Amino acid sequence: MIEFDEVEMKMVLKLVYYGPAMSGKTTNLLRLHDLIDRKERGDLMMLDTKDDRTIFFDLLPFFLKTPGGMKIKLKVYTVPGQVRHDATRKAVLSRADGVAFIADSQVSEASNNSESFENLEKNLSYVGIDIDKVPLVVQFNKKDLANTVSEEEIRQTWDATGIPVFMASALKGWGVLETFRCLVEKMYEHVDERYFLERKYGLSRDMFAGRLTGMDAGQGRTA
Amino acid sequence: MSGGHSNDDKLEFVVGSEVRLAGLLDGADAAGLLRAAKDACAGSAAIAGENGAVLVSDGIQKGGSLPEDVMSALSEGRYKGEGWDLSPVYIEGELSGYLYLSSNAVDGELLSAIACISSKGLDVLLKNTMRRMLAAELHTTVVNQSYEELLESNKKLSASEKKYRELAATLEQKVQERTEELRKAHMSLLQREKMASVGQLAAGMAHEINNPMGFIYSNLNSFSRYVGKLEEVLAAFRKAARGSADCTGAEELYRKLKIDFILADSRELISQSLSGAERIKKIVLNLKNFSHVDEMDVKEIDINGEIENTLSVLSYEIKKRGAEIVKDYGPLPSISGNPRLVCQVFLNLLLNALESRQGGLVVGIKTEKRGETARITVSDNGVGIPRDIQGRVFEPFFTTMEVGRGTGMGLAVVYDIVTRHGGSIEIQSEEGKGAAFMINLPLKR
Repeated sequence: MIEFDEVEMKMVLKLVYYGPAMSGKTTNLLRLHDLIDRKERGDLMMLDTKDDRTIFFDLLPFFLKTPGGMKIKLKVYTVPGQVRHDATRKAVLSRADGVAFIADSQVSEASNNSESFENLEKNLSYVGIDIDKVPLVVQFNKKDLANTVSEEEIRQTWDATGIPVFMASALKGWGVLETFRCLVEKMYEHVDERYFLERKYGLSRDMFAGRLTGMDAGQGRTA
Repeated sequence: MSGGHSNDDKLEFVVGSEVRLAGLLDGADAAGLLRAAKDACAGSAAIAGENGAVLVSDGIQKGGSLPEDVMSALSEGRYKGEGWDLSPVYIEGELSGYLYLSSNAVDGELLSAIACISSKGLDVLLKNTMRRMLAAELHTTVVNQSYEELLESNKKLSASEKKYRELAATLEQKVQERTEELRKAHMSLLQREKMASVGQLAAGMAHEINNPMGFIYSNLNSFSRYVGKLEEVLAAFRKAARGSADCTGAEELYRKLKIDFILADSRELISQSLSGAERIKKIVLNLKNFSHVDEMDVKEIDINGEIENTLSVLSYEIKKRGAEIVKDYGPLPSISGNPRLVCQVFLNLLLNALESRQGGLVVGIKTEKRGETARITVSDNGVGIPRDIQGRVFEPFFTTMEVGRGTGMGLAVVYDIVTRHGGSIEIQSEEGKGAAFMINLPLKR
């Protein structure tokens, strides 16, 4: 649910990194924070953790001004993955403008992934978001480890859904930015449909994604 | 931040709503920081918004604005001037305001250093405040949400608890009712099967007896004729031989053997045998009628006729008890049903009535058409049925007779058959004043 204040010319967008416990959602944000070193990127705010497990959420804010003078704030959240924090997940998920589902690609985690994805579907509908419409990307994290599900197998399962899937290792730093950029682009398209960012405010998709990710404008998706 | 959306009525749980600098500066923390900065530089300190409006200050009029020369320097992109210093304040990457220090007591370098430290301090303060606010916001949201869910599940739980409580309260009774029904059904099934085989037996016997009875009856008739002829011939011989000396011995023998008596008694014996055979034929016919084994299950029934059939089957019992039967048959159209079962009803009711008293028993049988039902009343002047057991007399095995006499099945079978024919049955009785059973059978079904 895009927050948009036309008088103040300010728009607040919300992305949520969802996924099972220990799949590397916070690591994704940490890596984004490191990889995107710009002034307009706010600091990563980590709300208390316990034994290194997220119990509230993490927040990485971005801020940019369009050529047309509109201010856009993008807030990227993680949810706590542990089953018991479902109420927190619902709260964080509400009004999300895009979701990155971070799966753990280790073979042993397959059932946790699907459980968490079902939980995502359930909670999206709980907070009134249509899963078929909300910008959604999937990342299979921890691909640097041995004993992970093969990319081929993953693509076999996911390609049919039309949801973009990325292989990543948040720990090593690869795949993270690509996941984020794809999600940002999808979100841009979603927002542009309704608020005509390009026509009214001179903000193209590539400019938007480029400025948020620190990649050159015009550089396409790396998926 | 006023969002452009209020389409979600159910959920107002939003975490991370937009905050402004002013919102983060509430409380004494910022004022303390400013005082320390002011003391350090021996001048004044303030935090202003993006537009230069002073939000918190120490030494500068609150609600006012930063000095004009500072504002104009800022618009030129300068953050430093003679005796003042500006540090930008960012919230979530967005430039949200400035920390302003001014002093004539310290030199520019020291002022910059103090500004740098203060600005870092402010940054930490803002971030912590924000973190706290976010945590509080999330906590509130989650608590509200959980509370709502709790209320909801509490509601559901109470509803289901109520349902189960009701169920538990009536369960015992329901089980008893069902058990009773089952027992009744089982017993009446047994009884019907028994009656069916009794009927079959009766029909078989009737058939077997009928054949020999046929020739006994017809032989007796022939024999009666032969005896008549023999008598006639004997009389003729005696007449012709009268006065002849030869027949003196024969006449002697005739008298000695009491042939006159024998001839007369023979006629009597034959006619008695004939009437006995006649009775056997009638009994056999009644048995056949009663058992109805040779008939289809459902047919048209003449109620009055069936009552007569039943009475003749019981004629011995009735005579033995010296009971008086008072019949009052009204004209009745035939009903459709199983004749054997309907006869069973009459038989059981009449047997029941016959048991109700030792001497001076009067049993009334009345039939009448009432609207679309046939009403049959069987009444007696017997001991009656106490009010407290009137509800139980249709239960299987319920009997007031001593062990070994009644089966307790009679009225249960009656009840079952009547209800199966779509009818109903009522009792009218007072203890010591006889009893009446009223059966209502629908004429059309």
